Amino acid sequence: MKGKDTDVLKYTFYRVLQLIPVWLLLSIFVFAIVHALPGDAIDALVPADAASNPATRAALEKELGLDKPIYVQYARWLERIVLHGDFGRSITTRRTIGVEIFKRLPATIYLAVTAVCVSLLIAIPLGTIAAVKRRTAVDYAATATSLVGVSVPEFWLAILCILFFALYLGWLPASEYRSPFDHFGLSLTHLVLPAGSLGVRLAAITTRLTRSSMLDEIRKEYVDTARALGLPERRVIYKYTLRNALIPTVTVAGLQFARLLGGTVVVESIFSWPGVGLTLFEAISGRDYPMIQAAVLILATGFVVMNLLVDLTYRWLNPRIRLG
Amino acid sequence: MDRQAQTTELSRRIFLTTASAALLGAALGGGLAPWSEAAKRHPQRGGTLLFGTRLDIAGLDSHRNTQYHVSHPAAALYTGLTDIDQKGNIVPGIAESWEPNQELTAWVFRLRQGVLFHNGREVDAEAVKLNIIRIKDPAIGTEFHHGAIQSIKTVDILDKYTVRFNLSEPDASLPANLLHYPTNLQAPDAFDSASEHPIGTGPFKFVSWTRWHETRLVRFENYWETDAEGNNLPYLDEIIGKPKKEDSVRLAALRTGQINLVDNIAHIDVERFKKSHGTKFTTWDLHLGGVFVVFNFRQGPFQDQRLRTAAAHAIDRNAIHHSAFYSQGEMLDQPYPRGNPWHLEDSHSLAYDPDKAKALLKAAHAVGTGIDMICFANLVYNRECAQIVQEMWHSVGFKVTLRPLDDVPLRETLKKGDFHGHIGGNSYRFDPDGFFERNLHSQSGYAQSLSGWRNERYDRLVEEAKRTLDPARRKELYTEAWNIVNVELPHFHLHELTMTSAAAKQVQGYQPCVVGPFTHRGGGIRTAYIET
Repeated sequence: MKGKDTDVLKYTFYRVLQLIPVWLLLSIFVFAIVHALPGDAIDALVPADAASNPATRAALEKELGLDKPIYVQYARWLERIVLHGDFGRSITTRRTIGVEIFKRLPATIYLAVTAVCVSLLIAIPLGTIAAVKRRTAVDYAATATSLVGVSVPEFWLAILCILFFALYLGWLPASEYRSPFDHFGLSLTHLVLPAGSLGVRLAAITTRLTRSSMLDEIRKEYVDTARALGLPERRVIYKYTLRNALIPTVTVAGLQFARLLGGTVVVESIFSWPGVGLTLFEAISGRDYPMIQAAVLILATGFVVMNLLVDLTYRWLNPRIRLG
Repeated sequence: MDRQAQTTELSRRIFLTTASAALLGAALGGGLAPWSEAAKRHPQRGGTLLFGTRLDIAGLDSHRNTQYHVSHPAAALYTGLTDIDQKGNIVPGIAESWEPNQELTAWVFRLRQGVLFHNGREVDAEAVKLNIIRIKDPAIGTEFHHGAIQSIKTVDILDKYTVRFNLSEPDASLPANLLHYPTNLQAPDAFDSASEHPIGTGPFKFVSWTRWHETRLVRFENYWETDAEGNNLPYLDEIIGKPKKEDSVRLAALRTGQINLVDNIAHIDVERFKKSHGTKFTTWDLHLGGVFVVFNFRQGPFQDQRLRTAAAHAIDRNAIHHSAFYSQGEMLDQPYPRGNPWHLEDSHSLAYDPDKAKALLKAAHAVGTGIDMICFANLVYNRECAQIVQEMWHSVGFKVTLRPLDDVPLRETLKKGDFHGHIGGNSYRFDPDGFFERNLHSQSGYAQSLSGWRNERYDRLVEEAKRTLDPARRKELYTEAWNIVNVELPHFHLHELTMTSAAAKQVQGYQPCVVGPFTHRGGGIRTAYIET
């Protein structure tokens, strides 16, 4: 056992080390792609007559560092981030980007974590029951429900939920974010609709995956062996089979969480949720290059880290899995 | 004294008399007592206004980012040298009075004494000068800011409370352009931190702003305006701006009590809302501006006047009135609606005549001509107007491709002239020069980025209208100018841009300006309070 723990530690260490070149490549890719976007930052920033004035343009380019060769711009940008944690200032708001993004990250994480938890709370039991009761009414109902869930657009579901739960029933607030650190109970009431709108769709995808994964596991020999040994069916399913079947589910849940960090712009917009997704969307609309670069880099880093955590979770779920 | 000088002299006298009357009337009715003498709070009026808006500011620095006094709560941070009343007339603001020289090339503004910025610095002539210099900085002021004060060449400080604007050309519209939108005043000692913590002179002070989440403002205890009883304005303790992009979400928030004032109800919801909830909410129908088609003169098929005329004849404004605006507001064939002092009685616009449109196209051998039309992707009324116009042009023989674009790509496309037709719009212009000059004069950068039209006669008429204060004479000149537009068609007006605002009954003492602003002299959020 001790040897196996050492393996895990070694594996974790190497994976963390690997993050460095991955992150560097990511930073190059993000920087390059943002600068390849059509549109000109100076044109987006100042009136047309100012943008076409050579002196004004030159002064602005100098102020924003756009007068240097691209590789110099990249090096300076990277140096500021790595050595000083400075992502620069937003072209539009003129505020510090790091502060802006990290102020919004808690709201985003709060929403994303809750949405994924909602999806798992629905998907795992539903997918498991559908697999166990295969080809019964329960299975068909679960499959149909997940099909509907996958087909319904998030924004439509979100608005429908607001109209029904907030306006018609008056049970929940229509929109807005409340920090859990200010008032946890109130923050939960504000969280239900946005997290639910996101979670239902995620649950639909995860339900199908869990069902499919369970069906694969149920057919394996060790399950027959466990039953033949007289183990209770509940134990066979929930202790042994489900644990193995959850590996793909965990992968997907992890990736969904990572995607939600920057991919909830529609729900954020509808619920006035001050998340990173909406910030990124506004930055793209306004050609706020420093903000786009920073936000994409931070979110991509989050994605990479989530991947690592997901891989490490496999080991916990199934110690027989060889790492590396 | 020649006729022009006589007219100018008469106009100056009229103007000064009017300003003095306003001064006297306001003094009798309240509002001009120095703040130090009237620093008392109304004993019963206060509360928190939860203001739901369709828009949010892009940044806090009001010289870099427009603070729209219709839909940006942050506009409550500011006042300007002039102000507006509830009817949209220009009245004294931080400046008590102003007078031009005979040629209208220099204007002297006398400032009210004792007006403070939120940080306690007094508003004086130096502060005004520094603000104008900053706004004119090409790296700071937006196109809209520049356009407003483009005639200001230099600013002279005559004494601590007197400033003179020296203009590059005669400009009768200057007082209207020194309104807080867009020429608002910031504390010069806080310019550097304007993007983090703006300091203005308005009835409310800045607390915090999180984009697309919340804007928090608190009452400015030393605001200079008072009510008729001498109580300090504003009454409200706090304004919390709650931007909500989605119309249905904003309305739901109002109906559930999450907010108590909305700037804008979607046109489609207005009638139903008034019918179902009229007893629980107060609504106001406001005039915001206009919507029009822009024809590109720089390139494309609309360089041919026959095709422009055909396109104009093909447009049924009545259909737009019902389909895009749900029978709200008025069809417009000019910038100002009926009832507005600048409405032009003798304007002759082209009527809806699809047969004539088809005949014109046929005569020009232009049936099947491809038209590339652009519109704003994010404005519902704009997109809907564009779709209706597209359909109408199809029906007479054009082949129209519609490209809805976001803000930055749209600006780039306009700048490059890479379109044939465009659905444009304008916010209300407090002086007609703000439309006639800015949108259509050949020397206006903005006009060149729209149609690119040039007409010497039009230019001369508009320039002459800037050189006189006589409203009747100005109207004559604008009417003649507008009839040139009606023939040459750089623009073709479609409809009034209207807005319906609504508040819960607990919001008392509030009435927006008829042309949209939620903050105006002696009213709006300055006199609003929440009834408990």
